[in-house]
Amino acid sequence: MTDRDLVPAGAAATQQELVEEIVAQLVGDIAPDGDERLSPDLSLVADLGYNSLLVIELAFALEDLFGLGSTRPEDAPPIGTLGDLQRYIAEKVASGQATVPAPDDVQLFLGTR
Amino acid sequence: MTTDDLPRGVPPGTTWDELAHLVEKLRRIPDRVRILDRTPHWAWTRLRLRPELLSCLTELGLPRRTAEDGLLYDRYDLANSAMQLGQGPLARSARRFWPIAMDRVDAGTSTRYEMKYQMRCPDPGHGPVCHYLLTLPGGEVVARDVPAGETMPDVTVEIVPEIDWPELPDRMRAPLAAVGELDFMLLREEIRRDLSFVRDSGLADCAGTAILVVEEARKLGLRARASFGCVVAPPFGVEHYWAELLVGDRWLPVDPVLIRQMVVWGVLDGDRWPPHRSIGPLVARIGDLGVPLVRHEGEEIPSTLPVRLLTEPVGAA
Repeated sequence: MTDRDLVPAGAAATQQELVEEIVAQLVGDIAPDGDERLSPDLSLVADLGYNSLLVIELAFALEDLFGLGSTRPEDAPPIGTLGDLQRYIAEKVASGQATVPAPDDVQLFLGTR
Repeated sequence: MTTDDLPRGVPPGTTWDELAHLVEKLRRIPDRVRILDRTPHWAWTRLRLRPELLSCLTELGLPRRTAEDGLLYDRYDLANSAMQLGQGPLARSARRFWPIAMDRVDAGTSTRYEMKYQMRCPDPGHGPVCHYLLTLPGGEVVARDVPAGETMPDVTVEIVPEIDWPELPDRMRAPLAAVGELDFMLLREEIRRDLSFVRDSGLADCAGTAILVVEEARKLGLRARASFGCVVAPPFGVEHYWAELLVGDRWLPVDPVLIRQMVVWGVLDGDRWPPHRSIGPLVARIGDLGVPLVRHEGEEIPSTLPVRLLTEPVGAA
């Protein structure tokens, strides 16, 4: 767990911002080098230190947290930047293939309560 | 206790006896290779091992130590607990994605994959240029120099796994029987290649299994080698070790422990996938055991290997 706190319920102006915040929180939580400097242009591998197993861990965590259903190989989360991942989840939410977890569920998932 | 008493997070159908047996197997691993520094919070957030399940395993004897803030566990014990119960990222990936790639074999035509090598400088600021060496499937080594501060561009390779693997002749199956009862466990470097430990404990990871098969094969006068490479199954490639036996003029990749585990998980049909069937269509050989996949300034570094399917086999559903 990093030192960053989740955005309190209602603090995100839009659903997309909420998705972006939750994804950032999760990415930072699993990343070996996750810290305060998370920004959408950071690469999971080059900047945040993700390796093969951590990428798999992140993919399943996203699936569980956002209720993505069973990810098909051809539709796996992109291993690019944090922003790529945020857009991927936001699109899934917008198309009804994922749901935004309630703040309590996020905290429970991340073990912060 | 009855199965009704099982804690949350235990897969349906699991019994208390099975949980106790799991802990008993973990205790075969010597304490000297344990590092008891992982919290129940880590087990939950990283492996989705519920606290209730961890408490149960603790009660059954899972090694731990008491610290100021609570109990601490070994990372490998926790990962193995999750994996043996079919949970955790590695088991989920193996259960979800690998059978799809293996099933494509039965379509009877070849499939093309694209695999990317992604990596980063492990020591920013060490010098003006990063020197990378990548070993590609087949063993070719390519060098890349990247100015310090710049991201190493992805290196992409195309992989067309061979599908027409011959059956392992009956007379060559004895070495596989030697590993038939091994339980797959992730093991620390200190013991994973120690065949005395593997034989005594009945536990092995892919490297130990490969080495043991090779040793048993050579005792019988068969030509065998331990190989290192990648499981090529979209969306994520994973580094792997396996044994190869020389059949005619071809090295036949085999991994009976992996196949058996997948059959136990219920994701492979045991009739179609007997332990001696070749895993050749699933793997891409990089080289012998110990060949580094990616090096930076001469030191091996971790990498990420996303895999993408380029073509469905002709005639596949």
